[in-house]
This record gives sequence, C-alpha cells and structure tokens, in this order.
Amino acid sequence: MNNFVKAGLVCIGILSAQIKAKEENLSIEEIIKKSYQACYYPGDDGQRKARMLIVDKGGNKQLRQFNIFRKDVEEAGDQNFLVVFEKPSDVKGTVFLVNKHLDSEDDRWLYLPGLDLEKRISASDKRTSFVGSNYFYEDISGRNYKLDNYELISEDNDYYRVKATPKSLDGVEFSHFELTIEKNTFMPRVISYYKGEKLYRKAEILELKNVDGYATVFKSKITDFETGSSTLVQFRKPDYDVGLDDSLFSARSLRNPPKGLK
Amino acid sequence: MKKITIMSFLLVSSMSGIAAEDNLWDEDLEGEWGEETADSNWSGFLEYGIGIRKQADNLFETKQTLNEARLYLENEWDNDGVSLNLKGEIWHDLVLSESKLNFRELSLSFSMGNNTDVKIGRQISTWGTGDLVFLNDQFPKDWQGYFNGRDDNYIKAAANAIRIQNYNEWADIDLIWTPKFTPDDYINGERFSFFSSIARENIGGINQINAEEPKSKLANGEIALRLSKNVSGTELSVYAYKGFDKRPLGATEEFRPTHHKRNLYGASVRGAIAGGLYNIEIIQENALEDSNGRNPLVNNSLQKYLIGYESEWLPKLNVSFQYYIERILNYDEMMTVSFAPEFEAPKYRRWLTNRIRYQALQDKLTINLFSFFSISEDEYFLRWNANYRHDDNWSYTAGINLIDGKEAHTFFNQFHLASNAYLRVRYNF
Repeated sequence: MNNFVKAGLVCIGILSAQIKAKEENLSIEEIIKKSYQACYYPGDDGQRKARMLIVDKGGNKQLRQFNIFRKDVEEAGDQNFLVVFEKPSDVKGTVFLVNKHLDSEDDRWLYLPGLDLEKRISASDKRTSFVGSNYFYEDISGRNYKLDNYELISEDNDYYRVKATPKSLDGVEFSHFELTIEKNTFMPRVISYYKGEKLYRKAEILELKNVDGYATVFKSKITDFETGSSTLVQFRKPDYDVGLDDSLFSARSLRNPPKGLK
Repeated sequence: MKKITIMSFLLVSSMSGIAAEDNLWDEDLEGEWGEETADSNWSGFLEYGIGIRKQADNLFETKQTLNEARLYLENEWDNDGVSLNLKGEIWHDLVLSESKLNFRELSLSFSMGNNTDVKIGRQISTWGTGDLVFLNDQFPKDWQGYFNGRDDNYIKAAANAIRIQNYNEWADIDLIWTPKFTPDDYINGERFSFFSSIARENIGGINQINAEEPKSKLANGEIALRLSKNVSGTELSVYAYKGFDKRPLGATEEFRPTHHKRNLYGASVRGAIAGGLYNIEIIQENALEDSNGRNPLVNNSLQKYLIGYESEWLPKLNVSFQYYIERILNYDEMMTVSFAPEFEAPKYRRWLTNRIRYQALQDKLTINLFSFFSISEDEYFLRWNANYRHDDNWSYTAGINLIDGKEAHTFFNQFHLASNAYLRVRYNF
C-alpha cells in the first residue's frame, strides 16, 4: 500500500474518533447507514479467503472454501461481488457473480464448470441458502437497508440495540430482527431474527480485528434454531483497496476466475 | 491398462490427502491456513449407476440402460500464467460390455495481452439461453446421456478445439474453432433403438447407424462465433456457426446416413423481469446442400424460436417454462419429394417445457422435474430426479426418464422403450 493511501487511512481513523465523540447525537438512520457501510463497504474494494463449516442437527459436517472479491461502484451504493469456490470437489470451479443494485434487482450469475454453463439466477431468492449453508445469499452481499424500518430500543456505553421491521413481508421469512451494533466500530455484533416472539435465527460476529483501519470479521456464526443447524465461517487474508479491476466482475471471471487472491 | 494403474495410484494418493485435511476442521479452525496451492490438488469422484427399462425393447438382450462404474479425476497445474487443465475418467460399462477412457478436458489456457483468454485442447463448450433445448449451442452433446440416467453434465461432450475470448468495450467476442468436425454422440442403435422411416419400424441392437462423416480436412472444421454484450443486466448475443448437421440427419446417394453442410445465424436476449428471468433465442439454419428443399437426402433449412421464463414461486421452489417452435422451411417442396412423407416432422414443431426445482433439508435434497410436452406431435418426455447430497462425499440420485406418445415415429416417442428408472451413488473426494 502506498503512503498516500496510508495517510488517507490515518485520516479515516481520526474521523471515526470524531464520530465516536458525537455518537450520542446520531439518528437511527445514521446508525444503520454507518453500520451498513462498516459491514459491506470498507475501502473501495476488498478480498479475502473464507471457509465455512456447516453442521446439521445430527452433527454432520460439510465444508466450503472460497475466495470472495468485492468492489464498490459507489460508496454505500451499487457494488459487485465475485465468489470463486475451491472446495469441496463437487463445487470446485463454481463461480458466483453479483452485480448488486440498491434501486433495482441484482443481476446474478452462477458458472457451472462441468457443463461450461453461465447460468443466470433470479434475484428473488435472496433469502435462500448460500451453497447449503445457514448463510443466505443476502447475508453475503448485504440486505438492502432501505427495505426495513428501524427503531432504537436501547443503548449503553458500548452498544446500540436496534429493532428492524421489514417494510414488506414479501420474500422474508422473519417478522423482525434485532441488531446489537458496537459503538466504536458500527459492526453488528449480533443479529437476532424473530418469527413473532420466537427467536429462530442468530448471526454473531465471534472475532473482529482491525485491518488497515477497518473493523474486519475473522470469525462469525449463524445458528438456525428451527433446524438445529449452524454455520461457522472463518475469513483469512483480508485485504482492502487492492485496486481490483472492474473487469474482474464481468462475465470473463465466470470462465476465467482469478486463481487465489489477487 | 497402464493408464488405469496410474489413475488408481492417483486416486489413492488423493484420498490420503483428504484424511490429512479433515484435521483442519476440528472445532477451531485456527492456525491451519497455510499457503495452499492448487497444483497438488487431485479431486473427483467414484460413481456407480444402474438404470432399468420400464419395458423391454426386444432389439436388446438387456433391460438395462445404465450399469456402469466410473472414476473421474481432475487437476490443474499453473506455471507462469499458463494452466494445464485435466478432467479425465475411466469407466466400465456393463450395458455395452466395454471399458473406456475419456478426457472431458485436457487443455492449456492462458491470457494474451490484457483482454484475451485462450484455451487450446480438449474442452467442453456451452452457450445459448435454452434449458435442455439447444438452438445456438452447436457443441457436441451426448444424447444417450439425455435418456439413460447419467448425470446432467454428461449431456455435453468434449471436443478438441481452440477457444479465443476477447473482452472489450463494445462487445465480448467468443470464437471456438473445432478443426476436426465433432458430431454429437447421437442415438445410433447401440444402446437405444430409433425409428427408421426406411424400415418403417424401430431399429437397433444388431443394426446400428454407420454414418459417413465429413472428410478430416481443415475446410471441414467447425467455426462458432458469439458476440455478446451486457447492457445494464440485459444480455444480448448474436451467433454464427459454420459446419455440419451435428447428427447424421441426411443421407448419401448410397443412402448411408451422413452429416450435411449447415450454416447457422442466431441471436438471444436474457434478462430480469418482474422478479424472474426471461430468455428469448432464435436461429436460422441453412442447409447449404439443398437451399430449396428439393433434395430428399438433405435435412431442410429450419428456423427455431424459443421463449422462456423462470421465477421463484415459493422459497426454494423455482418454476420455469419454455415455449419452443421449430419451423421447417420449404416444407411443401420437402413433402413432394419425401420418400416417406407420413413420417416427416410437422411443418411447425411446438414444445412446451416445464422445470420445477425444489430444494429442502438445507439444500441437501434437490428435486428436479423437467418435462417436455410436444403439442404438435402429442408426446411427452418426463426427465425427473431427486438428488440427496448427504455430505461433501456421498451423494445419491434417483430418477425416471419417461417417454410416451401416440405415434411410433415421432421425435420423442420413437424412444418410448428407452423409458427407465435409475439410481446413482457417488463418492466425491
């Protein structure tokens, strides 16, 4: 990373300190937007390796390993994702490409190497399992914050507790969810999804580290209490402002994905 | 046999690699993330499949459509920007009593400059927007795999080709040159019988198609070209193909089945609409050796049209429909000179297809019901299966291929005695 960028990151550090001093005055919209930004928009782009351990009710384990690349088209706006699978063997070489749009439906493709097939996938099934895990497609690329209404339930020195209620129940399985947002990083440490009064699904950040000035998840877990299954994810080699080319997020990467991280 | 020994050795060595890796997934995954390189990574599967006909076909001794054990291996080696890709398999087929070795891929791939990717060698190629209906995709297919209960991947067959993909501002250019014409692995009577309009009944078993293939010379190579552009999520493509009928739909003057010259021009659009996906594709096929339809030995020029829509009806339940029309050009001329007009295809062939895909049990269970209904020929083909992926190693698939119709000679119904139920067990490693 060049010195210019480093200088920029120091500035960001100062800025966030300033934000922290003022945080008592933040509106709920500002809290959510900052959280959304911290979670899904650190830097102009980013990449990392991920491993998932999927455990079902009976304790049976499955593994997924992939490289994930992201580039923002605009800050807190449209962005692109590329997920390249390395393991297990039956999904190796599978590539998932998302052109995420905030104001219209996402464009999504799945490349199946066995058939050399560029399969288009419909944008509607966002809340279905991502490759058999407890993560939904929407958890990977970020649920559009404009889809929910927010209410600050409580706050203490370290956390905001926020209730989110979907504006429309179309296409969602929960009635509402609650976020526990860490004040100094704006990262949602816990997200609890409810069906009525019943907690049915919980997403937790288990390990968070500072990487290049950005709060970065190293370990997280999603538990589904209805099915008794859970997915543990670990991230490695996170890197920001890599200078990923726009062309990485085009049809070219379906057939010719990057080998490893950039 | 030597090759088989090498393969078995590779299998054993790759399996021992798996055991070591399991340790990475003890409760904590810390500290086990060494630099991983792909170059020592063999993966693949072992599979056994059995398929039994619903009803015997008297042209064959066995009722089996599938009875085979298969070992599939893949690996990739990267060196200085050049990748060597290998996807190979050996299988023993008890229906045809033979062992086979095949490469689904054996290629070198590399980039030239910033915007061009090249792949040279044996490879599988696919394009077009249809779901199990192929218009602009003129790359080799295995029609036994359509019916006999093999995995869907086996619908596509490999060819020795050079593929050049250039990406630039105005359009992506995709050129595939297959120097030696590579026909489909069509239904030739070896495993399934088919209707012969000369014999006026199904033939197969002892009588098999022995087609005359185009002479092996550069001028007889196949060239397929696609220009495509993504305009705000709408994928626009135009296609061209110069080659031959992929199946021996014509005959020589000695009445030996053969592949005639054919040039194709097409276009497709695919995009999102109303929460779902639509696709539209068209193609014009020109029979170069019979432009006016007056030669009964040559398959006529055609036009094909496809429109499809897919959407999610319920979470994890996707439903799609396609409407397909195939129009024979110079139909009246064809009927005038036809040797067996009563067995000719209708001027407009019309199909409705439907796919219902449902996933359950945390995506471990996938139910796939693909159905063809022919409106013009009053027949159907149900291609239904359920797959249970127990874990990263074991996967089970059970399914049926059910074909029925009114008349003995029609497109699908000539294969009605191929109707079968099958079961496959796969171990991935």
